[in-house]
Amino acid sequence: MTQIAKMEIAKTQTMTMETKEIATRTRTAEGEKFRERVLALAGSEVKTCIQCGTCSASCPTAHLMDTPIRKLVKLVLEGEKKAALSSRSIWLCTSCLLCTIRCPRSIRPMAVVAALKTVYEKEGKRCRDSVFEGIFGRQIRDYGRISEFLLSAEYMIRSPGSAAQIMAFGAELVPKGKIELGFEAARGERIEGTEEMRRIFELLGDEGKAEAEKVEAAEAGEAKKAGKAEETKEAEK
Amino acid sequence: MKLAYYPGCVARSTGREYEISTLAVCRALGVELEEIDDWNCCGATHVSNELVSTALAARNLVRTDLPVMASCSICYSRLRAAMIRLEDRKVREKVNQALEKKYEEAKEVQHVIQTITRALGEAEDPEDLVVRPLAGLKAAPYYGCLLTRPSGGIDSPENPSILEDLIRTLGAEPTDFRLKMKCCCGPIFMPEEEAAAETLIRILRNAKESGADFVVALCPLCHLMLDANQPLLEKKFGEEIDLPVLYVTQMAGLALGLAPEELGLEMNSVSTRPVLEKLAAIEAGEKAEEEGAEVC
Repeated sequence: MTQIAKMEIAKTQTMTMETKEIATRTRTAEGEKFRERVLALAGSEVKTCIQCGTCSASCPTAHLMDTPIRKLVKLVLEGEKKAALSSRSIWLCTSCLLCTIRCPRSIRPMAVVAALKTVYEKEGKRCRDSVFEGIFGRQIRDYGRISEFLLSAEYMIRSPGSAAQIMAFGAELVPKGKIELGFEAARGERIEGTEEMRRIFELLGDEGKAEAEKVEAAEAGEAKKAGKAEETKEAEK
Repeated sequence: MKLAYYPGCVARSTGREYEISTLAVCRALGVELEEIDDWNCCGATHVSNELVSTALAARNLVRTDLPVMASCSICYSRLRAAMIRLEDRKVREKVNQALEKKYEEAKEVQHVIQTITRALGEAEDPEDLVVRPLAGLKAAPYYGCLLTRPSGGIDSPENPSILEDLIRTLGAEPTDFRLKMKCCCGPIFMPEEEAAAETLIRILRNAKESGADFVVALCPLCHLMLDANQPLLEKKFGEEIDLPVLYVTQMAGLALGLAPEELGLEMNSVSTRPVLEKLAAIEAGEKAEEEGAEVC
């Protein structure tokens, strides 16, 4: 039995206690909003998670993670926004989909991770991995395609620690004619449909946020009923 | 057979030899390719917003009426995953708001390994095409993760055999490669190099231990991680690997009788010469044997 599988079993034993905890703990308004936002992005079937740990046991980078994927799903359902978003695990997912093809509940744990990345980025949080994703996405939005040169150059500027690695790779690839140096060559790859690219990112990029805002609006409505509107008015005065 | 060709960004940079060999092999097999006009990046594994990545894939799919062929496993998986999401009417409507040409129906999407396998399968006599069987060569079939995922694609998502079958059809022998499905960690390589290196060296050691003369790759990111990265890994771990990594199209091209330069074999980082030399030596040996038999 692998180390990971053993770890998962040990965790399952303490899980009954944790499950009780979910039932008794009430989610904060912010936690609720976070939960709905992730569910809107990753699919409402996430709610049916039985915490079996198949995802964590399958994950090729589980041994590097501070929070196993199973636990990430639990944190989402509990509305534990801070803990979920601060986990390094979401940046160690390689998107290999092994968790997703194995999940007995047909949940897509990888989609949960992707949703957490989306929320993380929308909240304006930053780490070297999100910087890389940001550069990647912006390049597609502005050019339609990825230029290895532009990607590496910009990442190296924003994350100088990566310079040695990128240079070593460049020394391997540039002489083979695989990476053309220079901004001109990179811009030559720009597609015609950049207007459409921009629309895809602008119109669809904020979808998860829009869903969450609906929840927020509903909550605000209830708050009004509870008479909290009075307080706001006073504050405005 | 005529197919729409989706090259993907890597075909124009670190995976140039994949594109060169893909085009050469398709030509040799009589498969006509028409590049999708003004195609865009599929988003790979780096666009976490699913609606955006689905729309990126959809824009490529609506630009042709032909079945689509991709040679990159990530592009191929992204196109398939998007079509699954687009079965949902709500997703389709949202995505179509952003698209100029609307996505109406699913398309046939294939990976180049399917194209090759089918063309050989449909040939009256595959031996007419496989003019230079790779007899005597041992190949480690490296699938990586995304060729067969999401489920419902060309083969079992956990234990496929399409590559082993192709290796045999081409006359070579597939090795028993335990880590054939292990993810190369390429998607996190840029920011998480340490983590990826540890996995990569295990995959390479395992391929070597399997007795392979070379590894076969189906994805340009896997190839980049195992080939261009190999000298760096050797330095990092202080051990010699020296294992050539051929794209599936380079391997197929050799068996179809194409010259090494038509397949971009000189562009690989780890020299592919030992593979060519072994093949030539085996052929020379066979020829000598035949001549010897004739003399007798």
